[in-house]
Amino acid sequence: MTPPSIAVTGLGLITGAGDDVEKGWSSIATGTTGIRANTLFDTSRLLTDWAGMVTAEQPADLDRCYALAATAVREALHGSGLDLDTVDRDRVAVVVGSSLGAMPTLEATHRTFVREGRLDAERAAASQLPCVGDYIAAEFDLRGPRVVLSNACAASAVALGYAAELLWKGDVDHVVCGGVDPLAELSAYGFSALGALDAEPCSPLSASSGLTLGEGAGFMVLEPVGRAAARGARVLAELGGYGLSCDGYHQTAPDPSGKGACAAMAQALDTAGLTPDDVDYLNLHGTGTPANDASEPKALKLLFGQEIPPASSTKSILGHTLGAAGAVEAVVSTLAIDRGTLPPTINTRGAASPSGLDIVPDTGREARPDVVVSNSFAFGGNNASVVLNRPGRTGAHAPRREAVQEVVVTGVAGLAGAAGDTAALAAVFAEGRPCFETFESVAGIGDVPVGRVDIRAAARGTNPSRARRMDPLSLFAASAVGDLYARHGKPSRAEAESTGIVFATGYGPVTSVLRFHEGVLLSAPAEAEAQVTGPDPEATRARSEATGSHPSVFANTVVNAAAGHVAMLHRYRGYTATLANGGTSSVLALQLAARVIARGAADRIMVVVADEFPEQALATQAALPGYARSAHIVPGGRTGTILSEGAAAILLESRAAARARGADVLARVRGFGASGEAVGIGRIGRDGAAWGRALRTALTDADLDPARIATVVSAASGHPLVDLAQRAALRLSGLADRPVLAPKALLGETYGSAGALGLVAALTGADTHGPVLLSSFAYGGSYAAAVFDTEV
Amino acid sequence: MSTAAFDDIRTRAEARLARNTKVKSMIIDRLGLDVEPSVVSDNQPLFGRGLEMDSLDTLEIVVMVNNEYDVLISDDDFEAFGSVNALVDFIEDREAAA
Repeated sequence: MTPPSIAVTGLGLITGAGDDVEKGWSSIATGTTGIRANTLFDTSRLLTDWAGMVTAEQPADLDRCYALAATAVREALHGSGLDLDTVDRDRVAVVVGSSLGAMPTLEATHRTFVREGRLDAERAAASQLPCVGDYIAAEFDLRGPRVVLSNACAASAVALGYAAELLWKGDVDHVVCGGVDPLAELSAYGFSALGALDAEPCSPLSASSGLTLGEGAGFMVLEPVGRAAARGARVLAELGGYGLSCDGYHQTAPDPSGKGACAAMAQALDTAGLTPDDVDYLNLHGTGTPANDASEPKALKLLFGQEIPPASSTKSILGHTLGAAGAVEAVVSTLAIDRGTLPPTINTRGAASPSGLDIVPDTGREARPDVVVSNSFAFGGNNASVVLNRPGRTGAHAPRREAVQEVVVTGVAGLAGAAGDTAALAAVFAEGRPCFETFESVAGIGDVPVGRVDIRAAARGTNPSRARRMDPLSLFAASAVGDLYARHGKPSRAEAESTGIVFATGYGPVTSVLRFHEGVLLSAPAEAEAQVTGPDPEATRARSEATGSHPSVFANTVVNAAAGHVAMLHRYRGYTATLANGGTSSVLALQLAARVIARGAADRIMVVVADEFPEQALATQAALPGYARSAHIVPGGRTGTILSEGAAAILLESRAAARARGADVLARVRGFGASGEAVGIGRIGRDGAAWGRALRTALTDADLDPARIATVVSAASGHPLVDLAQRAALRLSGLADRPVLAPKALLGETYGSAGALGLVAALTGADTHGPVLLSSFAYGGSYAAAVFDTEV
Repeated sequence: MSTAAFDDIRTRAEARLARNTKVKSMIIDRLGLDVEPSVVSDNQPLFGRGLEMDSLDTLEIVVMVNNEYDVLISDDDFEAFGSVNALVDFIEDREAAA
């Protein structure tokens, strides 16, 4: 089947420029600012209070993130004319990009935790990143595959890419895809500490003295053009392609040469079958920071030479909506095509752009753009470009959307709890000795077992001058990758540069987020206020910096920081994406990487997963039902489960790339399946129906009968509800009698890493021959499964 | 030279030495450097091959100096990052001017 072109049939938008598409577009097209004084929290210690703040009243009993997302999703669904009651909801996916998620609620729980030592476990658990997707799925009863991407400021551009992969492969009929981020103290204090905020509303590509934060949500309804035509839907634009790349250059600054950004744009156009000559307008990343505004024009010159199309930054109107920016700007780009107006860059104050670009100054310009490229770049050196084109517009060459090559596994490594590397993991399985025998005291509960990774040991393989900048998540990830290279051989310089990285984690950099909050919260505001001596700018600056914010800790609060560190350590320059989707993260990351390699958009991708559970994460989990009190797990035995830190690295390559460098093939990729159910944050269905759908989809994709599965790598963890649901799912899928490997019995529950650690266990154990099925679940009701085959 | 003047110079030298040592410890602690304060010399470059700091470390030092000494290092004051001595000179200049 030829992959379909993807129709954009519905748009939803809420930003500082207006709380729906019409208001927002009218403001954007006329160059009317959406930036105003931030009244959501105390800004007296920040460099500025300017922000693209949403003015519409939001419900008090719902996190601002969820409320903004719901508004935009509702509008997109309504605008698409899609009647959800007439479609197969199992085939409607939810793909969301967010950098912060429900950060306002998480901040409130951290405030009580830091100041009063009191932890509201349920609220903390319900404000984790994956919950954004779970909230949308439950609110709109969407039961297809679900994933949250979190590449900081590129998050929702990456989400559009993920959605495209699902539709090109034919996994789903519709995708509700977008991005959301609320204004939050974390990002406000963080960017302020970096000195990255403009004292005035930002003027990207003209004065370029800093960025202005914004907030909002942008969502789209995406579907194959044939399906849109069949139901008579109006197609606003097509999502033609996307490209992702990593700089491997710096934690927060872009590569000043612009090479990575150029590669992302080139790949996006190539995927769409288009060339730079086809581009009529660029919606720039255009943050307004000196670093971005110097490097992005260089990237454009590398790609376009002297003939650069009009290129503007709508962040001058909306502010930087962080993880929402990619989707918000894709909505704006779609409107540019559909309404025939190029959005302007405002706040130029009459100055020409020093870069010499046509930045469409001050007010919208009538035009008829056929092809638009929208850029989103992020911390960690992540570059994302998305191509939107007029319906039916095709290019000179064939799009690169179809699977054309086989994908194989050429390296695996992992660590979990006390087992610090792959060899130690093998010993754990050989000796049947669990790696979660550390006991830690949790207030109000007592001593509970946990699988702790020895962070000093994990840091040992990394140069200390690099290691000191890395947080636990990054160190675990780097340790797994280092172990993989030690076991399977290091790449040459050229192989490393062509390597991509897909990073996944259940819940992200918990330590860094809490440490950053602690710094801000513990710097007594009263004392900071006392330093205000007058209205002169020096005093304002001095006041603003006495916030306890650590810039380098802030750099590690983005979920993709670990990917950035690993890319810098190994000089990766290829594809990059980051997922934060709880327990399905590993399998979904493997799926994404395999799909990208299969269609020839990458030769090799290192899939890295890591999970850390510092004190307050353990306290959160131990307070919820189903946590074991003794260091003993029996999957299916109602013992309760035990949290373990862990990480794993899986190297995927095309078979041709593996052959070219003489690499041993450990397994080949056979298929994936993902599913969801609308049960709400923190819940899973006990009937196993949705879970079973993921298993059966993976079997179908792998073209295998259940009886052919040699090993089921089980997600059973000793948690009674999880084990019950999975047993039902296996029964519903004809897998109940297949041999089972239950790694969590010895490794504990690592959530995000679990699926990949299961694959490590299966591929490093002696007894696995034939097809291996990985089963995984995430709280909130989403499931993912994969089939690998050791017969290569 | 009178004894009083000598004592004054000695007191000031000791105070300066103590401050240099404190600033070194603070930098090492804040940036998580894997070195002992005693092996960092007063004139060793902080960047490049010296202590291998980068732009994020600069921001950390700006915040640290602001919190500790109420002295602001702006983007134009890059000479402050030359070495520990240069940084302490900068702090003392600003304190004297305040």
